[in-house]
Amino acid sequence: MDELLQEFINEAQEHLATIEEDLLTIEEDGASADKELINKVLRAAHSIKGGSGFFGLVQVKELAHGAETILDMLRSDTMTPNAEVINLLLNAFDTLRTMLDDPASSEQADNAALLQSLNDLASSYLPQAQKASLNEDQIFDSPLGPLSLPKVDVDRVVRDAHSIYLVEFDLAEDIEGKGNDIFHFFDSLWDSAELLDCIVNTQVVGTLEHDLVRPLPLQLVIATPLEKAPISHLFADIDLNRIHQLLGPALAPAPERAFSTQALTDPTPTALAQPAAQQPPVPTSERASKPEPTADAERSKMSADDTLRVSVKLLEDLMNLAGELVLSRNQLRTAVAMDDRLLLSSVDQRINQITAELQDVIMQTRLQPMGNVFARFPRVVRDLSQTLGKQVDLQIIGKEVALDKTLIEGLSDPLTHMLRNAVDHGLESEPERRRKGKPPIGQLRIEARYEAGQAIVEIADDGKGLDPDALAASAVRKGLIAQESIQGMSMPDKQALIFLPGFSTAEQVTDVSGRGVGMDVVKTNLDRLGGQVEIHSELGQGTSFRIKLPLTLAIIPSLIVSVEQERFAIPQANIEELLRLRPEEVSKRLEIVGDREVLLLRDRVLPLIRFTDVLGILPTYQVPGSDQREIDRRTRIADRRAPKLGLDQTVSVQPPENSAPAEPASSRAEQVLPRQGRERRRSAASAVEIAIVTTGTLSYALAVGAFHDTEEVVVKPLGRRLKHLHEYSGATILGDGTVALILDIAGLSAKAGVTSVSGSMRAAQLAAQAETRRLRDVYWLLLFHNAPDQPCALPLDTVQRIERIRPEQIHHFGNRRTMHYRGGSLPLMAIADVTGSGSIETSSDLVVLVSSVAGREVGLLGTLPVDVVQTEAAIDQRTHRQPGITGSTIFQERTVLIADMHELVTAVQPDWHETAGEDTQEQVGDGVNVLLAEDSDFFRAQMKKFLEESGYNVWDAADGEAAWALLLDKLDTVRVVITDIEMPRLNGFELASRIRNDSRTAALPIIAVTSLAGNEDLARAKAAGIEHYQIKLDREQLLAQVGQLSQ
Amino acid sequence: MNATSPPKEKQLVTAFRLCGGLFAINAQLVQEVIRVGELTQVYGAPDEVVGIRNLRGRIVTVIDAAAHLNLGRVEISPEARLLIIEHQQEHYGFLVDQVIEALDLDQDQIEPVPSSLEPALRSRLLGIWRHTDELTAILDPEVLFRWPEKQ
Repeated sequence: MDELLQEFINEAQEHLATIEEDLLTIEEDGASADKELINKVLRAAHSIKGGSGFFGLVQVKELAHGAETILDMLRSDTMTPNAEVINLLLNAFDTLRTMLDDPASSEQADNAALLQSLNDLASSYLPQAQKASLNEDQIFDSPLGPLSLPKVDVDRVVRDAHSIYLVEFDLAEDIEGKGNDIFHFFDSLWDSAELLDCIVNTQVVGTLEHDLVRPLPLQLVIATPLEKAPISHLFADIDLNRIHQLLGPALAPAPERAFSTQALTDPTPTALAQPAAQQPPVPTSERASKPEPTADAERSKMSADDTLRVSVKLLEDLMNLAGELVLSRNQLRTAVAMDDRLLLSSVDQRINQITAELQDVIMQTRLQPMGNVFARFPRVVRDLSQTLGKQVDLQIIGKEVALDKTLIEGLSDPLTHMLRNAVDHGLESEPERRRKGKPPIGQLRIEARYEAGQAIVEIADDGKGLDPDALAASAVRKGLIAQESIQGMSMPDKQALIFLPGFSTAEQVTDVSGRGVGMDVVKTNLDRLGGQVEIHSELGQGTSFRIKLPLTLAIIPSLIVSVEQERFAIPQANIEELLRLRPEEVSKRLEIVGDREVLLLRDRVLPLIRFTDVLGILPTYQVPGSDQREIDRRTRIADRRAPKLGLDQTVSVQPPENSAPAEPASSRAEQVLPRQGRERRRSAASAVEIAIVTTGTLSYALAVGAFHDTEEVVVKPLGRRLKHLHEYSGATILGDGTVALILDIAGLSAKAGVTSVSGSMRAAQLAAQAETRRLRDVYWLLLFHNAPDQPCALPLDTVQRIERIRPEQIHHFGNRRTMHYRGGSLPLMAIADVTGSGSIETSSDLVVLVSSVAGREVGLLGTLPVDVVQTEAAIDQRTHRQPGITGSTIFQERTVLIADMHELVTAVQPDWHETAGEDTQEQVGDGVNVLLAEDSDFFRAQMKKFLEESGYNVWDAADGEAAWALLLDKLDTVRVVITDIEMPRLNGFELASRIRNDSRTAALPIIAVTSLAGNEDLARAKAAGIEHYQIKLDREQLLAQVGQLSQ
Repeated sequence: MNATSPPKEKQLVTAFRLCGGLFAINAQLVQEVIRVGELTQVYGAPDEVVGIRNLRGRIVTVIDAAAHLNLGRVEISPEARLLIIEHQQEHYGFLVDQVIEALDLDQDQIEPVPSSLEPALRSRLLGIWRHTDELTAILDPEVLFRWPEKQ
């Protein structure tokens, strides 16, 4: 019985799923609605009524019957399908669906109100005389006792000139005999008879034949134009005395009443004509329309989520490939047996190819069209816009875009929520739209498409947009973020606040989208799917959410990492960058704030998660000088104080550790600066490998043991016993046959208790710290030595390359030195040329630092060790000042001279500029006024100096506010503004915005200068109205830019 | 299969050693017996889950049968084996100390579980088979897949 019920419910749910769309179409077409469609819905309601009656689901039966009455009135044009009618029907079918989801408790459902509404609706369309018929029953005498039927049904039967029969039937015959299910039985009945009631009478069981193993006795009350004989045929040739006529055909003429049994045995009867009646009857061809496809009769008990429909074509492809695989295996065996290398390699190729194809086809079987999710949206939007009194035009694009089954299922809820949000909060009401001069009907678009190996789903509205400041204010009011942290936030940052837990934009929480589920839940769900969401919103213009999804979840490129001998896979999509902290950097870059370790990465503060902590792996460390590992009792990486290293010891030349490999600045450094293996090995025991990972909006640092290869891994689900571990998204089998767990980056952060850092109070503190650090100005210096014990430095940005050379490679011509370099000769300078202290030309550790001066390359001689360091120490521009040396700084308790290549060249070879033919540069400036905003004394002095040398007149200011005041003062003279980004009081972005928004200054060209250009900065700069970006000490480029802009 | 309906006539069981005791389970359920192989530890997993391993491309959840039955823990020795049992389309490997043999048991050789046994263990057994001096406890396979509520 349970099996039958399950089959019936599966079948019913499948029909219910399509009804919604049908009803919406019916509503749209109004009076001209397709009768066939109404009939289809009616037929489904009819079958549900029958089946639920059979299973004793009285509540379901009654509701289905109520819906049926309305649908019948639509079919007979008694009623027009307007919004009110369809609303009620949708409501009824929704309720049916809910009840069928849980048939066991459906009897407890209280549908009285809904039934009453259906009844009222039907009644309002009936003529006065018939109104009463809705609530009246007519009693019939039957051999099995009195039987009551709703009068409204009886009236209809009379009207159609049909007869009413009571049929005692045992469904077992039909079900067992034909392999049918209950739903299909009632469905097929529809072609020839209308079911009025279905009664399971347990008392009757005894009177039936006993030889049946599983009797399923029931009494059916049907209305049909047929006579007893064909009816008997309809019910598996039951005995005629089991068919009792309760009501004869009406008096109205019914010329076509006679039916041959032949027509009935035909699986798709085409000519079951109905008697003409005063009401336009349904054309019979419709009633007899082809039954719904029944191919899925074999549906198992498994829930719908565990099964998948796959096209036969795909299965055939799979079969073919499997066949080929078998062939190849046989070949492989032969090859192995014969030890035939040639054959082996050809088989290898073949198997390779088949595997790839197999993988491809199997992937395809998992794909489902987006349409499956989109199908419910018209209804959602329609209901919601009606409730809110808004007019919305929903456009759906890309139904055919196919995605992995799990993605499709997982997308449904988040998308629905976002759609609701768009209608509720995004789109304005009609009067408001008119006031704003927008078209009265709100536009809502949901679109799916493929883009660069990813699937994109976009939900866009033309509503009011997200107001970043209002969002920020609201977040502060709710105590989600600190007031101070707002200042540093960009517009997208502020808009992303809606993803914070506990955030809701509506001032009043409506019952529509404010259901206690916020965008944070949407975000979490999308994270789990590997999706990333972006917001593009313009105030007053609308909002668009872009969701990026991996095309398939089953195979993902991943980075294999290891922690304490265990290997894990991190999906590549989650990885932002990888970095390695050398032991001596660990204490500088990792800090403990509150209870959490954080990593300082450029201007970001990222929470640090230690793998070993989250997963409870015992950390060990390599015992120096042995192969043993011991348990590391230091609780935090940041506690590992690196041994103090003197300059002489830091020999490695590495790119600055905090610049990502992906960044232009560091990739340049990587090309030119040779790595030295020695350093790596020495520090391997305590260096920290860190992966910066992201879930889309939340980024954090994950400290791992070591990085390995990138592999395309096949995701295999974990067993039930491990399903609750959200930190893993599955497992995969690595090339060597062992199993590695795949990390769920979102789940891992949840487990570690890391939430969005940019929103928390702690983050506010950190951001403030980071801010002060930035304001202190950090310099990148390339350290080298002149004479031993005489450390010198060049600003890193000015160095293009480092070359190792031997003393004999230096050629002397008089007092000038050159070396062969890239097919030409490179002039060489030395610090000693200006300081006069100790020549180094015979040193065996010679290096040449190549820079560009006035468009020509020039080399500076130095000796090893060479290192790149970051320092915040102040630069003393006086004590050691002399031509060629701009100043000095203290690094690791030693004085380091900072050289300036331009000055060196000028000092050593005063004729350089003339010979270089760069004399034009001097005239470019020609007294043009340039405003320079820069808070660092060193950089300001440097830039001012070379600008003035080029003939510009420089007005300089130490912060944005001062610069703005100065600009207003010199309004008519300033031609170009050069500004630093990070400054106290008013930063570069803000200064730029102010300049752009003031009509007096809007047209001024602005150049932003920075010590390192990051992509995110570039984007922000563009948004603030800054067109040009230069590196502070790249004199040539900056001068060229100023020259060009001031003309 | 449950405790109220003792196995009819003959039953083939796989006998194994677990923390010193002898146990047996319906051999038809055991798809294969394999060596422990390389296990991948799953951090954060329930106590009885020793790890996961690859079995011809399938991920098998390896359960310490002793831990699961509250008997102690299986020491992974060269004798240790995994009994591969499928349950609800998933493969489990039950880690046992040693697999002895497959036994053909007569129904009437199986005695009811003595009430002196610890109730927790008793509820997991179908019966006891007495042979020479040793008792073999026959495990109820249904109970094998009943997990404690998540703590």
